[in-house]
Order: sequence, then C-alpha cells, then structure tokens
Amino acid sequence: MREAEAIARLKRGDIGGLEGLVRLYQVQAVRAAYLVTRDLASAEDVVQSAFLRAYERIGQYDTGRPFGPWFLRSVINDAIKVSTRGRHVSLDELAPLEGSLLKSYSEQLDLSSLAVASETNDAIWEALGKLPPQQRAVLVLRYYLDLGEAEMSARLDVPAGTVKSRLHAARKHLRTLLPSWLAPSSGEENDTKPMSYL
Amino acid sequence: MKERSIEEQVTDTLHERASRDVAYDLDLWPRISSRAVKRVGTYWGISRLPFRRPSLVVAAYLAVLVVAVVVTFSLAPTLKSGMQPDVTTPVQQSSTEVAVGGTQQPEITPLPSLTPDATATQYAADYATSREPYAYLDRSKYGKYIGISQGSGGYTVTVNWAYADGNLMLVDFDLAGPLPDALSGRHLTPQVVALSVRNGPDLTTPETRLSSKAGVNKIHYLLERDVANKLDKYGNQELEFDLTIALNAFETGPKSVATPTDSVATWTAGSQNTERVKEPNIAGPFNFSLRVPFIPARIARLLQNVIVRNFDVSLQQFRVSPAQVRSFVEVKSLGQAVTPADWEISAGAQVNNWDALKFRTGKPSYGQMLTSNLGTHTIYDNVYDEQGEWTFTVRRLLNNQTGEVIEGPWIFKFQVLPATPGADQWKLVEQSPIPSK
Repeated sequence: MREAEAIARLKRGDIGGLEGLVRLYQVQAVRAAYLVTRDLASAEDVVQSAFLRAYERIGQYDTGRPFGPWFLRSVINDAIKVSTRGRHVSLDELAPLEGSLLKSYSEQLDLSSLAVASETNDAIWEALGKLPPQQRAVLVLRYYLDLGEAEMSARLDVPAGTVKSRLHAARKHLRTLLPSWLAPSSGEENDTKPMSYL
Repeated sequence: MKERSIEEQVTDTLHERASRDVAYDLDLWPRISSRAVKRVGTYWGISRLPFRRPSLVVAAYLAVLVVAVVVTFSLAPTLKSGMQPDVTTPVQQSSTEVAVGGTQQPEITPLPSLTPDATATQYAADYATSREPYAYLDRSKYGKYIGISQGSGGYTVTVNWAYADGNLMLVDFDLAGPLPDALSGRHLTPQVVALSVRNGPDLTTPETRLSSKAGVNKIHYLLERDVANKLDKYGNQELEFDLTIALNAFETGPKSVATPTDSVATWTAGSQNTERVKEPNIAGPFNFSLRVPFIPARIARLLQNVIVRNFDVSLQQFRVSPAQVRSFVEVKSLGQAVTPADWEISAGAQVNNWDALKFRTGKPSYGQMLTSNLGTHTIYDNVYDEQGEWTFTVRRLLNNQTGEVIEGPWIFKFQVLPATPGADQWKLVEQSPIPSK
C-alpha cells in the first residue's frame, strides 16, 4: 500500500490505512527511537503510541507534506522524553508472547558476526550512551537519518541556529567520551576541527 | 590508506546497532491494531498487551553464541521395507525408564525458529552453492503446484508450488517486474508480512527464511518455515493457509538478494536483508490463500536420558517427515555450579550402518540451540518411508569456557517399526553404555 493511499484511507476512518503506514515506517521509526532510548521495549512502545496518536490526529495532517518527517519528529521527541524521565515501563511488558526468545536465521548470523565487531564501534556505542538524550537525538537525526541542519530544524521544531549549536555541542561532548585511542588529542578539540573529527 | 573518519564510524555504529538490535521484519501491527481498537471504544482504557521482552531476546542471542550443538546423523542402505505414511499420525510413546535418572515427561519447548551455530554457517555456505533446496522432495509426489499470480505496483508474484509437513512448510514463488540492475545500488526483497494457517496458528516471521535464485527476467524464491511442534494436531488432510508478501527496496549490501541474469543459478540462503532501508515498501501486499496436502511427521517422544557428572542429557524427540529428520536434545544442570550454556554437545545418529555427516542428498546436517539447554538437529533427506534400527550417540561434552572435555559415548538405540495404525512406531531396544561418571 502506498503512503498516499494509506493516508487517504486513514482520513476516511479506515484503520487499514494505519496498517499501511505501520508497515511503511515501523522499522525506521523503531530503529531511530531505539538509538535514542537504547531500550527496545521503550522504543517499540514509543512508536506504537506515535502511530496511535497519528491515527487519532490524522485530521490535522497536511496531505501536501510527506508523512514520514511529520511522524518521525513525533517519534524522536517522544524518545527524548522517555529517555529523559528514566526507564520506561512498556504498556505491554507484563504479557507474554510466544516465540519471543529467538529471532530469524539471518539475524542470528548477523549477530554472530557482530560478536567480533570492532572495538571502535563498541567504544562509540558506549560513548553515545553517556550523552544526554537530547544530544544523542541530534546525532541520530544527523548520522542515522542523514538529515541536514535545515531538515533537523524542521524535525525538532527548533530554529536552525539551535540545531547547529546542539549538533556542535553533541559532537564535542561525544569526542570527550571516546577513548584516547579513538578520539583525537585534546589539542584538536576546537571549533575549527574538521567534521570528520566530530 | 585513508582512515575512516569518526563521523563515518559514528554513522556506521548507529546503522549497525539499529540493524542488529531491531529486526527489519519487526511487526508492531498486531499490538497497534489491538490498542487502536481498544482506544476507539475506551480511549483511556488501554490494557496491557502481548509484548516481546527484548532482554530475553538478547539473552537468547548470547546463549546461542556461547553454545553450539554439533550433531551428525547418518543412514545406511540396509532397510528392507518402508512405512505407510498415509496411516501414520504422531504417536506418543510412554516415557521409558532408564537405568539412571528416568525423566519426568518433559514437554518439548516449541520450536520458534532457525538459529545458527558453526554448523549452520557451514550449511548456509553449502546451501548457497547447492542445487535447488529440497531437491530430494519429488514435487510430483509431494506438495502441490499452485500457479497463481498477483500483481501490484508493476510487479507480479507467482506462487508456483507449496508444501507442508509436520516439520516444514515450503512455498516456491517468483517475482517479476522492473527489477533493478545489479549495479544500481538498490535491491529488492520480498517480506513475508503474514503466514497463518486457516483456523490455526499464526506462522508469520521472524521464523521464516527466504532463499533466492536469479532467473531470466525474474527472481525465484523459496520460503521455508519451521513448523515443528506447531502443526501436530493435524493429520492427513489438506492444510489451508494465507500468505501475504510485500516487496521492499533495500540499499545494496554484502548480503543483497539475487539479481536476475541468465548465468547466475545458485541459491542464496537467508535473504532477509538487514541493510539500511531507504524505501521500505514499493509494491504489495500480495495476498494468497493456499491449500496443500499436509503430511504429519512421525514423532517419537523418547524421553531417554543419561546422567553425566552434573548433567542430565536427554534425547527427547525425533520427528521424521519427508522434508527433514529432526531430533531434540535437552541438557539440564543438576547442580548450581554447572552452566549448560557453557557446554557444547557433540552428538550424532545413525540408521543401521548408514554412513555419514552428509546424507544421500549431500547436504550437511544442521545443529542449533533453541534455548540455552535445548538443542535440535536437522538432516536434509527424505527417509519418511524408512524403518530400521536408529542409534543416537552423544559423543562428548565440551566446555567452551574451560576447555574441559567429558568423553562419552552415550548411546541410545531404538527400533523404527513398520507403520501400523494406532500402534507405536518407535521402540527402545537398548541404552548403552550407561555412564557411570
């Protein structure tokens, strides 16, 4: 189902339209939320709630604009809120789900290979976890969702200058959290540092 | 050589973690739809709904990483007469007392997925270079030709053949349409959005595996779904199930799916691409309602065990169907100091004196841990109509942490009897030697 068709159905009150949007955006949304919350249960719950809110507020949605950015902005903001207030308790947490312990063959192969993943990625992941959620979200928008500053401004609903300063602060903070063998020396930590050094 | 910038590494880390920890075939819709329906009636009355506990998922991952089952089966061509599959139904044999540590009628844990270990990697490599998977299943005898096509978004999905038995469901289908060039940086892959038995269990992913092979102007796919312990209530009858496929686009990656050419003719296993999703859905859903003959597995619930040191090693179940032979071994800790997850089981099976790690099909056997202490092994051959003396051997236990080895072997023998309606088809012959360690 195409996005336009899904939204049209949803605006008519057809819940099948919501399913189409879930299929289109759930993975990207959960992954983005997870990178901010660093907790899969919280990320899934954030995205579920965001879809339900979209369902209820689809009347406010301007069909002349793409759904994805509108929706992901909501997801990212919610993920920040959840991360800020601490561990989130999922609405679903108490109920079981059959077969939840194991994932697909291909995923397991990926995990096997990742078991020997580079120390670099581990170090970066650990450092990202030490950032405040707001700064982590900025880096997720920039480096995971691949947004420019203007898009980030729209996504976060803050002025472009604010985005720029937040991004700068996040990069700088992250660099201080990286191990010495990965981060450049302290003497290189200045505003003229090339982007490649964060 | 140019070093990769930290910016690039952060990008890679984020994508890697997201892909690894959030499955691309994640499906929130059942939960969202339930909550949506509840909200329509009572907005604030949201109840707690089924939920996957990710911490347990991660725990299971880790368990799979540290535990490997290496199980080998072999067969010998000394069998005399076949069984009659049309009269067989899963037969439950009463628990057999063994000399040491008789078991307590343990329930077999449902088998939710295919999970790999070192042997799985070997299997995957073999699979990629083999002929058509499950070529030993005579399609004129097993399964059903379907020949139904559905179109969406300029693409056509044609289901060619489908098959179901007590271990496995298979669906062979083709995808045709404006397929991307191999160098375009985009690849297509179908996603199984739904797979459910009519008036029966939901068999939707993540336990579904998809293999692909390039054809001329189309791509062939083979969907495999492990259904062991899922369909045991069904006898010889037709099985109706619904299959929904969506077509997604993915950025190119090392595990990209096949692209059609005239020359490529190998099958690639595990085509569920976890690379970055740029354009998640481009066509579909393609909906199919299928009806195929169902062949129940011959099941022997053996529940035989041996005690070695602080372990209780039990052979729980054999399942034989035309598509596969499956066995299940459980290792329980009898002392708090023992961690089953640290131990690797080396085991195998034979029918009479048949040889080999590889059966007549040439496919390696495939061992995997389903949980930290329940392992399964699969052999790829059709021995559904065979009978004879089967032997299951646990050769040794190896501690992956300390290197300690507890040598066996510990052997279970049993007789596969001719199929007789209403009678047990499996009989314990002997268990030897009984370990004294």
